[in-house]
Amino acid sequence: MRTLTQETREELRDMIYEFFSEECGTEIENLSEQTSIIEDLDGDSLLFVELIEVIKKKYGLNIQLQTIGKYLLKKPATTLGQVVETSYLIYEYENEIVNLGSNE
Amino acid sequence: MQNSKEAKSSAFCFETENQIGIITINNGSQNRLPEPDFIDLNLLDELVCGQELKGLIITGQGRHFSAGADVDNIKAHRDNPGGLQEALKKGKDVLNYIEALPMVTVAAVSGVCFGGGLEFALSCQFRVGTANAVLAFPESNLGIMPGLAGTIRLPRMIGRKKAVEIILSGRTINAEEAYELGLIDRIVPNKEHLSQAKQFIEELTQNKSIQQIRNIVQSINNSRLLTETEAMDKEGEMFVGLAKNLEGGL
Repeated sequence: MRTLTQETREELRDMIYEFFSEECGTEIENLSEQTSIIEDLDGDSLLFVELIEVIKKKYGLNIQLQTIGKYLLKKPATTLGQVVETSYLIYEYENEIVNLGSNE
Repeated sequence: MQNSKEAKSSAFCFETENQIGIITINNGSQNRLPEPDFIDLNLLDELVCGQELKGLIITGQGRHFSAGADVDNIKAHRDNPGGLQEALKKGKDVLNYIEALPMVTVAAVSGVCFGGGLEFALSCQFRVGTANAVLAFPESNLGIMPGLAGTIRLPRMIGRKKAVEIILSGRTINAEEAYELGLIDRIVPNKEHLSQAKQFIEELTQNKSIQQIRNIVQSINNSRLLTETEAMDKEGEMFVGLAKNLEGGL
């Protein structure tokens, strides 16, 4: 398990806000934790696929798409805040994220 | 200059611009392929051959190129193996047709390009991809396999070993890795895939006649489609045809 520092938390959050701002053509100031990816940004689940690749590349993470898919079936991420929280877990647990829900 | 011929079907549209044909997969936000044979070959042939094109671009409407086949439709066909195989054959005929076109063909890829969508992209000679493009053959994770010649075109392009690894794992490939593998020929800024694909064709065909472009690409295609002797004979015929129009020295 990786240690998630405050600096990396902020970096991940900023990266995710910038990503959705650019992809969905909206100013970062218009985004908040409550922003719904689908309803407010007209986004879709495939945006998450793109985002994961960006995060994987930046931090050299070992995480498979199907692993995240299984996790999201248990813990859906529909708002920007939930996507950010999920990204923290992906950073910390990589492929082990799939085992998180089973202990809860 | 927009024009000449435009057509829309349920899941794709076709238009031409400056002698470049553009096929746009247009089926919801994910651009799923409703059926393997969702493009009618006769209609495509009519659209492409009805005008003097120097290039063809395949792209997706909106953010993504295509998330691949509609799995529900495949499930619906599972008790009709003959029908499914026939649909796959028709789909492959379309891709073989695109692959054999005597013009510059480019897939302009943005966002997700998965499964059947990637098989469409592989039928083109070139792929221009955005920095955020993500490619994959996820079929093996669904208990199936690529069915539109992905297992044939991918190894031809990147080698058998790498193709086995990518198709069996079903893993995703980002634009950078795709470029290193030779799956993407140019990485371009996000949202510029279509304009860059047009520019790519313009650069490659600048100051070349349609006949030259067609003969050169056709002859290169012949090297794979015909015997070596036949391909060489055809090359000679094309050369003679072009030489008739020669002005001055080389």
